[in-house]
Amino acid sequence: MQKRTIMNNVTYLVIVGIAVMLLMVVSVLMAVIFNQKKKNQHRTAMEKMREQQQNQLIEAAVRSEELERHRIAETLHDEVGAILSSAKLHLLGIKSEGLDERDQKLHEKGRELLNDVIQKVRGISHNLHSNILKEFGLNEAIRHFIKKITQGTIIHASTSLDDNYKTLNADDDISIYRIVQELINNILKYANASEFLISSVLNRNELNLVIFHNGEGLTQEQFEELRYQKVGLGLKNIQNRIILLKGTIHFTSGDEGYRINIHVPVKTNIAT
Amino acid sequence: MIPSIFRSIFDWSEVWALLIPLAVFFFCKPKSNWQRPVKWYLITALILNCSLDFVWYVNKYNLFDSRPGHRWNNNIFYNLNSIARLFYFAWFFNCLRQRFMHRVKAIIPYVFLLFLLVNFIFFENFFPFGKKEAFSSRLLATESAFLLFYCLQYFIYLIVEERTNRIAWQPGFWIVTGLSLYVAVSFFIFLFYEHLMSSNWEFAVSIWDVHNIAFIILCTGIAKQLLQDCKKGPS
Repeated sequence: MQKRTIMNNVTYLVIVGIAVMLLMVVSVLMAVIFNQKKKNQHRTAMEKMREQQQNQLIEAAVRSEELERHRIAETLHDEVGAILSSAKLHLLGIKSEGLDERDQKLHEKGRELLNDVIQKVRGISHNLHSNILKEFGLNEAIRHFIKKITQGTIIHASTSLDDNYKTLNADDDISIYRIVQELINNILKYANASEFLISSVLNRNELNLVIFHNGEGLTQEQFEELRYQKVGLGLKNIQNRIILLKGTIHFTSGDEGYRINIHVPVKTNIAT
Repeated sequence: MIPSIFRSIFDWSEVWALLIPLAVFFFCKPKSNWQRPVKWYLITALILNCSLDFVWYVNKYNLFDSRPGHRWNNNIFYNLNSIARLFYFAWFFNCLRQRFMHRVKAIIPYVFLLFLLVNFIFFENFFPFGKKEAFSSRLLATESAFLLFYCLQYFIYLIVEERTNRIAWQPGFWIVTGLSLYVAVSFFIFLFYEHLMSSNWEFAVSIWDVHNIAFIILCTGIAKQLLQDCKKGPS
């Protein structure tokens, strides 16, 4: 009887022992899993905060750059432009009839140069300022920019922009416009392209812009590499504005040429 | 008929379960620094488990000499298996290079060695010659306790270490999970098995099935880890 009781006790002890040990290991495992979840949540929150801070910094940099552009544009237009116009008036006030042939030619040349400078200053001022953008919208600003930049060159440029696009956020448009400006300037400077096309399609709340050219462009790897170099300020600006817009940019190459795809989430008042 | 087939398959589980991680080793050849102790453990355990199951099979079907006192004893293979398991897994935990309790972890194999010498010189008989049974509950339970300590410190490290992410992808996670479940189940079985064999043989045989299930879980954990390692690359 006593032997049977001891036998039963040992049996129970083994069963209870296994259960307790299993419970302990499972509890530790659960603790590890919950702890990991907590750590992940904390890490995600920290990453989000860091990203927010980075975006705020980029936004501040982009805004201050834009303000500075406006300030320079206004100074050029209101001050330098006014002085040059005044100088032109004074020059026109000189009676050229009494001058000899040599001085007449010099007077004429001076007037031409002054006209050129006034035009150039106005052009730079308009380029820096986003008046057209604010008044007529992104599409018109891009068309105007392309027309102006290719005037007097052999480059054939064309645009095919989605006119359904009407933004609610003018700041986003400025960023998109500056990206296009920078990319086109780069194409003209480095790509030796004879032809380029800018097209845009509004797809729900996303604006897809494509810049295609037949020159020597960048691949995605080259873009990633260059934007971390000290010299690639323009590309850094492009990337900063893309981050600010929460968009993406992709550089691809094919047999026909190079393609830059820009996807930007936008707020529009058009339901597509 | 079917239950007896299942019974036979289950009786040989200590052998075929090892073939699962060994097959993974054979097909995908993991490169992590911790795979060597695991590979050697699997090979050693396969040889020892084949031997002990063969002896058990001979005894069960009286293949050679069935006279009382002439039955073969396979408990030495369990003892050897236990010693091999502790040393190989101590090596394995050392290979994980976790900067946590590393001195304690380094001392444990030496403490275990000292325990082996003291236990088998003064208290128990390692070889079963002339003895009815040589299953050392003390050896197997001590080995389980040490392995359980290794597993718990591994999990505590995962809790205290700030940089860990995706625990399921931590080096050795599935092996340690399988091992912790195995030693948690086995500890009390080993501790009282000697006593159960003499007092309650039927229960001892039944509870060994639970041990076998835990062993299958351990082997599955090792196989899962090796597969994951093949997908992820060396860690």
